[in-house]
Amino acid sequence: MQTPFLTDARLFLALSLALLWALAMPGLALADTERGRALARQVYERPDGRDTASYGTMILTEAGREPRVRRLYSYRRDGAGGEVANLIRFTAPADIADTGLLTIDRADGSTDQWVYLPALGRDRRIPSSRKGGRFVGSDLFYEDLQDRKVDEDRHRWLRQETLEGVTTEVLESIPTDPDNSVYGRRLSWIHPKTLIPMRIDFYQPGGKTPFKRLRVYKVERIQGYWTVTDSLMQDLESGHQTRLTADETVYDQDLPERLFSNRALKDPALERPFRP
Amino acid sequence: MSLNPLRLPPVAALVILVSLAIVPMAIAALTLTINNSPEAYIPPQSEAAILERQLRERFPGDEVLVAAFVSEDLYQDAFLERLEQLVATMQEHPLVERVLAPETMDHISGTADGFVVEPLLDAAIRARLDPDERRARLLADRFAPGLLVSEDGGLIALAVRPRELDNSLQRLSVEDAFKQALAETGLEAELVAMSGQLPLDAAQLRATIRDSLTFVPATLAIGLVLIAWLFRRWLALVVALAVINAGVGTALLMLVVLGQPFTLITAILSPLMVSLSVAFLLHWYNAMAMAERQKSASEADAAATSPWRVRRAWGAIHRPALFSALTTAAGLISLSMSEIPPIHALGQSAAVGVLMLYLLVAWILPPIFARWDRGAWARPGKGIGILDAPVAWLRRLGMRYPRWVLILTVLLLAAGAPQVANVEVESDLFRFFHEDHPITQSNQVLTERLSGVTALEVVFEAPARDTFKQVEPLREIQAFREWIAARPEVDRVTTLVDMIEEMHWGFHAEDPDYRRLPAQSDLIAQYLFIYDGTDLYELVDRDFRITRVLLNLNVNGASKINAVIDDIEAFLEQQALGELTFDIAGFGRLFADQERLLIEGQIRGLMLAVGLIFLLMVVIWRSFSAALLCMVPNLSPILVIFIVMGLFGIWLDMATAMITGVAVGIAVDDTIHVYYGYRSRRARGRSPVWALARTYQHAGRAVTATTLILSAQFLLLLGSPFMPTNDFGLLTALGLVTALLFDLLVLPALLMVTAGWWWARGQRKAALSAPEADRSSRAEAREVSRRS
Repeated sequence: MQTPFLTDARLFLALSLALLWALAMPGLALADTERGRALARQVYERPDGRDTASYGTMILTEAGREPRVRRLYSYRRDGAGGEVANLIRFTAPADIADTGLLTIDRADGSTDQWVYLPALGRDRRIPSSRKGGRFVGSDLFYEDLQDRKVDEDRHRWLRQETLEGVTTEVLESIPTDPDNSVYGRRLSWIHPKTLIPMRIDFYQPGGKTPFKRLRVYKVERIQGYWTVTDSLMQDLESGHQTRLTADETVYDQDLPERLFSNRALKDPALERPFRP
Repeated sequence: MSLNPLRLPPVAALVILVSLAIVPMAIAALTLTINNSPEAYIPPQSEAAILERQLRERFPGDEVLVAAFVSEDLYQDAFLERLEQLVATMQEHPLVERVLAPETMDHISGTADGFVVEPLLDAAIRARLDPDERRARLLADRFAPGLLVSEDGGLIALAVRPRELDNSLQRLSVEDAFKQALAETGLEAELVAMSGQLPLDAAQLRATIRDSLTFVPATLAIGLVLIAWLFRRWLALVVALAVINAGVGTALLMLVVLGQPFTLITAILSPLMVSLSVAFLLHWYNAMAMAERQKSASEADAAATSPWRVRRAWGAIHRPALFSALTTAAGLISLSMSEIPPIHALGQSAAVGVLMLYLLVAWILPPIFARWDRGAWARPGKGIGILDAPVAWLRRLGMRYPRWVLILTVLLLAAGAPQVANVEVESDLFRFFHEDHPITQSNQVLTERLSGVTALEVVFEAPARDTFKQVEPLREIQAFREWIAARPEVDRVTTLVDMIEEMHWGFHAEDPDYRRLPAQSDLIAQYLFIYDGTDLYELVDRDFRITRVLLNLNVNGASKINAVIDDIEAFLEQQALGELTFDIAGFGRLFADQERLLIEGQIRGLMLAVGLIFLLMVVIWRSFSAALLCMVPNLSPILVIFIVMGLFGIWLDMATAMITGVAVGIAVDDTIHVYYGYRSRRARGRSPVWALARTYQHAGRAVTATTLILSAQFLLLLGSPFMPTNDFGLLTALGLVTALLFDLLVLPALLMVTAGWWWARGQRKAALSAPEADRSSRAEAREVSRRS
């Protein structure tokens, strides 16, 4: 039979543990936030060269339909002061050949985007507010093509989790300014060695379940840089999928700044010499 | 071997009755689904239904809830914020696929160096515009006027589009959620209209449930009160309740077995079965009461026992009850010729219910009454005696002036017959309600200030992928758009070409010269390649192989929709569409197809009803001429119903299409009861006059009482706010009363005329062989004539 003393002792112990937990929580939470932020910075600053040029395929698939296959070149250049420039040029199918998209992510977090239509022979600016627009009918939003600075989100390390046999760090990122992103939350499963997110779940603002998921299927070391060469973005509601593969990738060609201009966007000949 | 109605042990009979009164009703209550959607009225294997299913795999449905708001402050933040809140709430509803509103609809625009597909008016855009600019932005949009904003800018609307819904309760739930969201956002005062297929279905469901909750108890009450008043026996009342429950329960369970839902059509099943149950019971109880009255002095001791009374009553009615059950079932089964599933199912379910009623009344009730019925039966209440005078008057008129009665009847029917040509075959869901019903008024507001709510889709299909990125096929769509937009029945046309034109215009800094289809296929492909909105894929599939042209028609009637469909088909067949094929789909098509099915079903059903009843009559009477004669009082009410429909402009629609089958099926019972009595007496060697007089003395009151009770029960349906229920009640009652008049007036006249020759010949023969018998017969006839 239990004595009153023992009962009181257990109660005291339980209360003490609860108090300790309550006192420790903010500290623990703070630790997770710090760890998360550090991890996010590591991912952002992961070595990926001064510039990249790659040639690959974008495959759009949907149940009951033949996949749509597009061939494209993409170029990236890290500029001074944190500016990042991207140029994407489609080469196939024929009716969209030479269509291009130029994205300049400024150091202050703003983004300029232009699209070029060869049949019209002119480029047009896409407003930066159009983050949630689907890029060329794929499952990538314009926001997914933009450079996202570490400070634009609040990060929190959640846990370690094994993903397909690999231990990953699970990181939660929530936009500091809700108007700054189409997503309400992102969960990333980060491979600690390559610092590449092997999976990202995207949540709508207020959403309880993810509506989009990015999976990385293949990572290769090219010129000493870890490079994603096969990934899949899934719309979890419609089942629509966009697969991106990189057949050839070249780093550090010293891509010139003029390659990321409206003139180069309108003239595919300017970037041809830098194709991998 | 003679049939023995008392073979079943009374306890077993009681257990069967109680089980049938409870079990089928309980199973039906637990398993019957409610679905009144347009799809429920189309055979699943019909071309339109198959096309609809295929289309919905690629494109969203056209079922919507449209809500319109009017306020002085439509473009102020206070209103728009609440509207955005309402949209956000509805977007989160699990049954809602999309809410089309200024906030969620794509708007294509261009600037000197830019091009954008962005929301028409969301919070971010609202923040940079003043109220006048917001209004101007909505009105300047290519797609919003007539859809989300009235041409004068004084009304803003939104459309809630549900996911694919399985039943009407889900529609009701979406509508309820919308009303709750309206209350939460405080937008109720600004709401001026709420219409579309979803609220229409919800309103129909509410009306159907309301009618069922009102009229089933009401018809039940009338039946029970009359039984109580006429026969004054508790057992009769309790048994009646059980029989009615069993009849209704069996019919509803049959609906479940047939896999059919409860619709506004099958909702008629319950009051119909209550009425039929009461009719069967009245004949049985009347026979019990009559059995006691007719006992001879030698039978007095035996008559004191219930088994004797039951045997006597059973002997009098079991044959006519069987015949009338078969003919009523035949009339009802004729409805199964209709391809419209609810009408089909109603006929079959009611027919099975009627056969169940016969089994109960003829084989289950006798042992119960033989065992537990105590004491003498009261004469049917004195009140009903007032029926004797008009019944006798009509019968005398028919017997004394048969030729005049027949000539006058033929003349009246001939005079009215041209009205049949005026009967309009038309169904209009919005005319199912009175003018002052909120759904009718909302529809009027939306049609006048926005656009018609009848959605029609013209679907173009190409054999190869990316066809609709090419200029030539798009020009065909453009030509069709120009042609159809000029029609007065068409309020709005939305096509893929409109989207491409808007992009071309936007890419050229909104230069009006560029609001046209580009001449190069490459440019079209590139526009479509970079399109990053969502609205485009409501008009074309992602393979660019199937595109649909969305039409909003301002006509709601099936025949008017059919006329537009016919014209579209004729126009497109003349166009050089090349490899393109086309189909017409959408709610309008589904609804219009019902008209064709209605006409075909009506014609086939009528032929089947007449054919089956005639065949049964031939089998029952074993006489072709007798069967032919009995058809007259039953076919004439059909003619009268159509004359009245033509005269008063009542449409032949979903509900009225069922009346002939139901009315003939019920009305033929009276003819059978009357003619059975007449033939039995004639078979016993009585003269036509005597046989007729005695028959009407015995059966005339019963058939009149039955008809009046049934008619009263059907006339109750006039209290429904739902026009189909109204028309069904009115016309069925009219058919029954007409059939009664023909039974009381025209049938005796017919029998007098046709029997006259045979009687005269028989008299001549008898005079030659037995003068004494002749005198006796004549004296008998005089006596009957004097009494009557």
